[in-house]
Amino acid sequence: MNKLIKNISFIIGIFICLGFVLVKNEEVFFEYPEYWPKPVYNFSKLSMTEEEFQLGRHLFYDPLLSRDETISCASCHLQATGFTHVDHDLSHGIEGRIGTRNSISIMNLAWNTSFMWDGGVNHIEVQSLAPISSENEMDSSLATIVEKLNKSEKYNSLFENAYRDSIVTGQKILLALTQFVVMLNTYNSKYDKYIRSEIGGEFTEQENSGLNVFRNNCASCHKEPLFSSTDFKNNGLNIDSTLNDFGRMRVTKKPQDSLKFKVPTLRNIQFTQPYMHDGRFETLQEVINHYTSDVQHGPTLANELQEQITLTHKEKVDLLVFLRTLTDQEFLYNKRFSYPRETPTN
Amino acid sequence: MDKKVLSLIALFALTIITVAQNNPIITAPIQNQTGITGRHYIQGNSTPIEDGVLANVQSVDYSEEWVYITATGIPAYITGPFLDGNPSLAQNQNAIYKLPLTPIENTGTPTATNGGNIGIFINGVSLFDYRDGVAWNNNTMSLCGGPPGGNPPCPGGPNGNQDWNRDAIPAEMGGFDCNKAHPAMGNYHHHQNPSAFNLDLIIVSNICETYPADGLYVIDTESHSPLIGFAYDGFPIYGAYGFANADGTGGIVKMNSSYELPGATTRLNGPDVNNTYFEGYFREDYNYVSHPEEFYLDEHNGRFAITPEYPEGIYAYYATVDENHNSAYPYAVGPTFYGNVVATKVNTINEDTTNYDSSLGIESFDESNLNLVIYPNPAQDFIAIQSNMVPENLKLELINDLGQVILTNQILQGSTLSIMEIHTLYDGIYFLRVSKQNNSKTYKIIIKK
Repeated sequence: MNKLIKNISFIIGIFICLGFVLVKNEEVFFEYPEYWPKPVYNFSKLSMTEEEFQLGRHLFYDPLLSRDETISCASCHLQATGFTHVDHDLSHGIEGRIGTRNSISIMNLAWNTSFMWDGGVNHIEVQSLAPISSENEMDSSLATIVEKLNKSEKYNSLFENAYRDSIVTGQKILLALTQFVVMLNTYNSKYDKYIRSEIGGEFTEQENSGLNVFRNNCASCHKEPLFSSTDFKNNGLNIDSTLNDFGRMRVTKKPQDSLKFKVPTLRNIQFTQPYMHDGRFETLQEVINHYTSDVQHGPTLANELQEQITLTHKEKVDLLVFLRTLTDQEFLYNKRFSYPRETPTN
Repeated sequence: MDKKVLSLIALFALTIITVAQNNPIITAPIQNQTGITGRHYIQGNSTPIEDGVLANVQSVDYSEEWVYITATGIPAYITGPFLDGNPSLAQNQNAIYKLPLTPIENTGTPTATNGGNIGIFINGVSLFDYRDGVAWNNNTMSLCGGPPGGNPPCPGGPNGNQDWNRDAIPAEMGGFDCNKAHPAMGNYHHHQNPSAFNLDLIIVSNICETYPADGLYVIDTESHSPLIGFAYDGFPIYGAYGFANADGTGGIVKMNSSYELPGATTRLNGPDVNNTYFEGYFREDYNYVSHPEEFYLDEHNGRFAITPEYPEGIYAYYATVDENHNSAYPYAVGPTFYGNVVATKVNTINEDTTNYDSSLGIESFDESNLNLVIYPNPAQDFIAIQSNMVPENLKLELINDLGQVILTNQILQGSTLSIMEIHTLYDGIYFLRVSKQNNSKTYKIIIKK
């Protein structure tokens, strides 16, 4: 082989390499305030690319996931309300079927060690299997969805973009959904700006007073900065005799877990009504009144609630005012998380 | 030229201006004097989003024959959401509507109303007629037309004539917001009486429970409804109530449509009447039945009568409602116009015009004209202050027992309602001061949480 040809193949080789560089997917970064704890989720299975995120976003908003293609994840998890629903207490599935619980909000999931109100799922990457296969929710199966998506040109191309392979597999679906939901992070509320001493975070006297009430009465379970904890607690609700939902005990079969439910985050709580696992309270006023005067004492009641919480009228009002500072408008209206429109509209 | 002639010319010019300035088509449009912008709800959130687009009418200019109303088509009341899958939002129309100063009766064959704009409201929002573009195709025995992606097109396309045209009011009920309106490709419009759903005597849509809004005016059964808009023939449109008799006597009554459903069971070249295609589903289901009483309207849904703005009498359309205050066909104008349809949308004004400065016409505060309703009292979560119609902003101030102003708000011009959130307030006695310029009135409010 003469030298010229060698050089030419070398140059072509360089171009091929450059080509690979050029089609490399765009990286997405998992960002959070540096003073927060480290996320507990291990990101190693995710590709952390924009393409995988967008694929997950399409799946999240696609009713194709349900058996009769009428509801999507977003049917119960609406962005503007912290990715939960607001118009009824118990969640609705296909054909008007009604589940037994109020959909839980989807925010800052990378800090969660378990999922669902009873912790019935312990890994985010398989969490979506539960609503997909639940008879009262989407009533479908991963295999059915794989089959449907493989017939779709749109998804073949989205999978090709994300994984360099247009073949749809169950694992890729679950990972793409995970890549989307794990990015739904909220840390720009007025409270967060207050903590960071940023512009827009100046608390009023009343908000400060409410924060004190919160720290003295609520923060031992709803721990800052995530306003949740990984624990399950019985918060003293009367059992609803039509649902007979014993919470965590359904999963562990241990009597000491009876009536315990996940401690939910209070972020964006102004918009996540109705409240509690069965959506029994419409307003935060009712929630606070429950804690101050209606807690039912039983063998599994949370230690934190053994002694009655007493709040004056002023303290209640201030607490409610403080809770509104947990609203993060930038998150609730972030266009990156909204329905993926083909062409942007405004 | 001598001084006398000059004065005469000046006097003559002044007369024209004065006459023009008394013409309601120039004075009635609600001009945005305070820079208020539109707001809209998105599904799932009861807190509206502020838009950057100015609401109401931007300017009114007139020549000897025409008035030019420049408007965004965005109302002061909160729009959306549109829960029938309509992906559109109310968007800036950047429109200039050219309407005649002197409308003229059409003595020939009446002109049928058309799809799209057939008039504008005094806040610059579009008026459409009954139709939604969907019709019956008897060859395929199915519906045709409407938004792309839905039904197949009708024979002859959107401009073809069909025997059975769908009525938008029942058919698109699920997609109207609390103001009874929705957008078509960004053009926000009412097909019907622009009062909020939750103010009807029987409530046919629950949209206002989650996404409250207030519409253009509130029906007051004891006074003549306001002038709410103009049709494309230049004749005015009033709300639902007027004088019983055309000469202004007989008290205030509801203006009635003369269109009735005859109780048919079949349709010639159309589907039989059934649960899907119920009577009233198509506008051709209605028959015009003439009545002797003057509060029954003619086949265009109007009549010649005295009104507060036209003491000499005028031909006017009315936004008709039934006894429950639900919208009644033909809803506002139609199915044909009374006058010569000469109004158009123009891109520029191509003649000399005079601008009408609406701030000259501001009336002083008169509480009896406002019909203020303040509720609930005692209040727990919010205080709603409702008026029947507000042409200029009304200032609202909540004052505590120390005399300090602790909350302020406004009822925006072109809307009727203000909701004061009181989550920061403690139980007690407060005072609400309502004012316009230097006049005010104060009401006692109790907050009990």
